[in-house]
Amino acid sequence: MSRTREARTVWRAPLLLGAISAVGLVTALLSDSWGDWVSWATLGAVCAAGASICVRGFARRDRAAIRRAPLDSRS
Amino acid sequence: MKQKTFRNWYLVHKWTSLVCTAFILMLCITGLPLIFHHEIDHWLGYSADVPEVVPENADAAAVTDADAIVEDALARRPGETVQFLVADPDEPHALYVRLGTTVKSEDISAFLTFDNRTGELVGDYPLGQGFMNLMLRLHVDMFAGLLGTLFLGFMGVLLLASVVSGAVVYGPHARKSGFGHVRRRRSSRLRWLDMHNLLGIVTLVWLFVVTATGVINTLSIPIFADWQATQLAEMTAPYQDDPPPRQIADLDRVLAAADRAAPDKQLSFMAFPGNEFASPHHFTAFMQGSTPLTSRLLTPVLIDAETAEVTATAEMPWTVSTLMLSQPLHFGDYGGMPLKILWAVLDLITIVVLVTGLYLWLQRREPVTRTDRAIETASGAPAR
Repeated sequence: MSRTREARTVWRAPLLLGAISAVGLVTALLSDSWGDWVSWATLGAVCAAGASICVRGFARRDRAAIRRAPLDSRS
Repeated sequence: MKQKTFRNWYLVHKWTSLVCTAFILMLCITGLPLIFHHEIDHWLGYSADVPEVVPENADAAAVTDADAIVEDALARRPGETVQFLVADPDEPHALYVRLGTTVKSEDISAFLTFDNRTGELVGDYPLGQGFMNLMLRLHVDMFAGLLGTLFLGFMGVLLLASVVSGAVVYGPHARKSGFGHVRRRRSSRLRWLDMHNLLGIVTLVWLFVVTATGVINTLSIPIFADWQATQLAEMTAPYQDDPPPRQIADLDRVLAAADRAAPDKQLSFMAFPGNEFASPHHFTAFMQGSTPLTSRLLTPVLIDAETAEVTATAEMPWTVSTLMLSQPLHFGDYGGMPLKILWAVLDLITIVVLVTGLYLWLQRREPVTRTDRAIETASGAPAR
């Protein structure tokens, strides 16, 4: 994989989340109607991404799978 | 990225985080109830809203003015003096009176809420007590005054460095594990590492903005002190040798003069003569705009305390405007209840980032199995 393609793969999602966070933080300052709605939607998406990571992280480990494939670098 | 460069960034991330984590954790925990301080104050009975409709049994002739409200406040708190009148665009029928033992004392002795249509006292906020006061003081200065505030500001600067360096070290990690992937089947350390990296990168912009605006807020006392020493001193310089005013003008005339000087704006708060935000010869009415953005910016209007004539108006310097604009971005109070809830969720996620980071550091010297070591080496986990 070329360096540019690799960087694009690594940073695509974080840059998108960063951009929508910035939009959400600013729009509610600009308008009490559409701005609030955009802010709720964008920051809501960021929260949903964080919540889904928490759910996956806090879920119980599959110990049987550890025994089955202890050196597999990905579960 | 070269291994040495990565290691340097990793060391910056590790040490800036280690120094500030305990304080940032405290700020996140105390900040959580503060997001909902308005609602919690109501729930605890500390503050009350002015009724939407004037009670039917209210005497129509009793519709009162600012002078009567101030007179009532002073009668209720003998020996104290009015420092500020405060208005709130979200509570158009409320007028708040802040009193102190002297007009320029830093401590507040009372904060009274009046209905500006009837002159009735609606609330007397219990100052310096209760759960919310504890949260606020811990969050603002840890009961250590300006020094405590500035110290917390420095912790915020360290957190900013930690956030930036964290983003840099995220790259090599993500190349190995990909975005959104939490390796649950491996060692618990890898699971916490993935959660720490992913949650950190997801909340990066929000945390950076909330931290940077928090740091700016810690400078509020120096910023206003600078304004008092420069712009306010300049505006009041021609009056500095004048004798004190013989009598104070009617407050309604003073407020009307402020309205005329800034016709498209409304009162945010007004400092009384002798206060550090005014002068011995002036009231200063701080007027705010009516749009979401301009409502955060203040225009000071100086009004002669004796004649109720406007003597000067100005636009605040960029330092004060930056401070005022940074406040909503720190408090999360500018998009209704949904934004407050999102702010709280992001705050909770930040707590998880801090705790997982701490866990990763505490686990650094624990004996690990060969399997764990092999997995971490293969997946690009940072050296311990």
